[in-house]
Amino acid sequence: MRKFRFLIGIVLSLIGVLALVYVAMSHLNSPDFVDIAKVEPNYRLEAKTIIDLGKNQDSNYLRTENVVEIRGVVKEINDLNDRITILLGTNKNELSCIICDMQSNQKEKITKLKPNDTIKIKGVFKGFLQDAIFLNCVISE
Amino acid sequence: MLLLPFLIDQPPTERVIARQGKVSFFSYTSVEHIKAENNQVFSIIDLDSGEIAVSMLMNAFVFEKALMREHFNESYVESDIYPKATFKGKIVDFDPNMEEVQTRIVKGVFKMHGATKELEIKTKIEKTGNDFVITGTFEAMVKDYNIKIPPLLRGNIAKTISIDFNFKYEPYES
Repeated sequence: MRKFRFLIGIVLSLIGVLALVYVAMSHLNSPDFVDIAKVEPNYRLEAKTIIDLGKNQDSNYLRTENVVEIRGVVKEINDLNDRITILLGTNKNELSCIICDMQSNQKEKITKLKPNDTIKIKGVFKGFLQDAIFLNCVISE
Repeated sequence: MLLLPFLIDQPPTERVIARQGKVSFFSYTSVEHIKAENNQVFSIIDLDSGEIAVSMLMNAFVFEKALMREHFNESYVESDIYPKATFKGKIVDFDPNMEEVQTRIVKGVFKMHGATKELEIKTKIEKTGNDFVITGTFEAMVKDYNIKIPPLLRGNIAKTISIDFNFKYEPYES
């Protein structure tokens, strides 16, 4: 009976160690991808508001890595660097815009878009250069 | 926006900009290959003077694995403290009217992670209509940029990192 318990103990310990190794390996190898469609945004903002924040160098309001839903006008859709990017702006001729680097699963939705459409995009805010930069973007329903 | 006033605030001359420049870096070791790319690098060139400025957000590099990105931002480049890397310099003997491909040296100062390094980079410049494409490769020593690699991970990260860039410039209408 003692031998049996000892064996059970060894087997359970092995299973525990294997589970830990599996969890650790999954974490180490997890791809750099978050499905933003399932994430509740920290902010819902108009494109103009974000562009104005960039112009005024007001970096205190928007924090990097915040998920933001942006409502704006499609200025351009391009596939530069083999990535799909939507440039969002306002109706005015602004020099700055919002660069949205789209997730690869958005291809089908993007085929229905054209310049001057008003849409909502959700993405991760990375910061301001000349433009506001958002990665992992999806088109909001 | 703060970083490029010396070109943006100049009196109107002919300038070209790239909003979606690409910068990639590669670290090859026997233990691990690490590759990352940033596709939203901003750059502007004054065609008259050949002055060039580049700015990129360090947290906009995309990695294959999430853990690589976390280590890069939190432990190595500390992107919350040093959010941007910049380059300011001049394209030597740049001729904006030349239709053929030009190979030129870009001389300038690269700032990253609080460190400043003078660089000379060989670049290829192609002109198509009013657009320019500038490509090139250079190498950077990790130690030159005050990046500390923990002893446990030294085998995973190369001492010399290879950096590729590709910028497509369009006329800047200010």
